[in-house]
Formats: sequence, C-alpha cells, structure tokens
Amino acid sequence: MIYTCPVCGFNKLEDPPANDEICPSCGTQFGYHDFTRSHAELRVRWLANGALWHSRVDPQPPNWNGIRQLFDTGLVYSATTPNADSQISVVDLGVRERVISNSGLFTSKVKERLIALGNSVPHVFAHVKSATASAGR
Amino acid sequence: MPLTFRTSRKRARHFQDHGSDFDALNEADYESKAGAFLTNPLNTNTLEGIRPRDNATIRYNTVTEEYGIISSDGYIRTYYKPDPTLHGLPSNLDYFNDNCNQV
Repeated sequence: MIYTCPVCGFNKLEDPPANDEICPSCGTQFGYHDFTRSHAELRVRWLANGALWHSRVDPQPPNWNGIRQLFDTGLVYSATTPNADSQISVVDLGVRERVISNSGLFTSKVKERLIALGNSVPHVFAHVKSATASAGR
Repeated sequence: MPLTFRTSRKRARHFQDHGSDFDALNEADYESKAGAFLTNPLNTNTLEGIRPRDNATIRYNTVTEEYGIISSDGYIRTYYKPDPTLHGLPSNLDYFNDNCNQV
C-alpha cells in the first residue's frame, strides 16, 4: 500500500501519514509538525522555503520538482491576480481555495523557479507565462 | 533485546532530523540512546503515559527535554527534543500531556 503526503503531494509514502512518519519529500513528521498546524499551513511554509527535497536518506527521484509535484497532485494551482504587486499567485486548495501568495511571501528565488517551471509545463502555467510576458514588456 | 526502530530506513530518517538533538555519532548511537531513554527505570524527572488512541508509550523528561515514543508492538517510533515553535503548544509539557490524552 502506498500513501500520499497531504502536505506536499509526494505519492510514494510507505506508511500512512501519521504516527511520526517523516515524509522524505517535505520533511513533515506527522503527529509532531501537524500537531496544531494544518497541512495547508505546512504546505505554504514548505513552498515558501523553495519546496526542496528534504531527505538525505531517500534519494531524490530523477527529475523531481517539488513545485510541480504540488501542481500535479492538485494541491495548488496557479493564477494571476489583477493589479497584484506580484505577478504570481498560488492558490491552495486545502483551505477553501485560499490564495496563499500574491504579495511577497515567496522569495525571488522561488518566483524564479515558478517561472522556470511555468515555461516547461505550459498547460498548468499558462497564466503565469502570460503574466511574465506582460511584466517583461 | 534492545529496542529498535521498525526499519533501518525509519531509523535513518529520524536520525537525520533528530540525531543532532543528542549529539548522536551515527544511526546506531541514536537508536541506542533512544532505547536507553525509553527503557531505563523512570526517574523523578521523567514522565510516562500510555496514549489511548494507539496504546503507544510516551516518555518525556522535563529537565533534559527528551521525548520518545514506543509503539504498542514494541518499536521505537521517534526520539527527539520537541520544539514549541514546531508543535505549536506553549510548552513541551503541554505537548506531552496533550499527546497522552489523545483518544
């Protein structure tokens, strides 16, 4: 039986996300990190820190990309916000489609990674690409 | 028989995240320290509870801040020094008590 991490969408957990299991992808220790915080809150934090592979025990899968993993599992989707100071916002589906970033939560490095990823998966990031193109004019 | 984690991979993962809490030299050293904490006779500073939710045994030392869990079938689940900024409760004692009260 394989399980999916409710924080980052990693879909190869060997055991259910509970009882002090540690997700190799995002590093969430279930029962500790999510004791009072929601999975959506932990997801925002992981994403804001760059959505990097956590484990040094489990090798990072080839071509793995944490941000893409989130989008592929449907935990977040991208959208642009008219007149936002940032060109990218990410909507988290975990908390009633709450917009988790459109005003500077992401570092410029994370934004760069989002834009780069948007160029490689245009079906997901069409709005990001158009926003980026507009910003470049 | 000394206590162990259920698998070497689980031991390695917990060592990565928590080994430095105890200056553990390696995975085996970390596991040994965990086993000692979880099986040594209780002292005046160490609290122990059985969590109703899963019958896990939980120990917490109020001085050293050590915290560990043994599953109901006798494996080490985890061993670390809790951080209130991570579990979100005011103190580690609150965290221990709340855990012991989970049904």
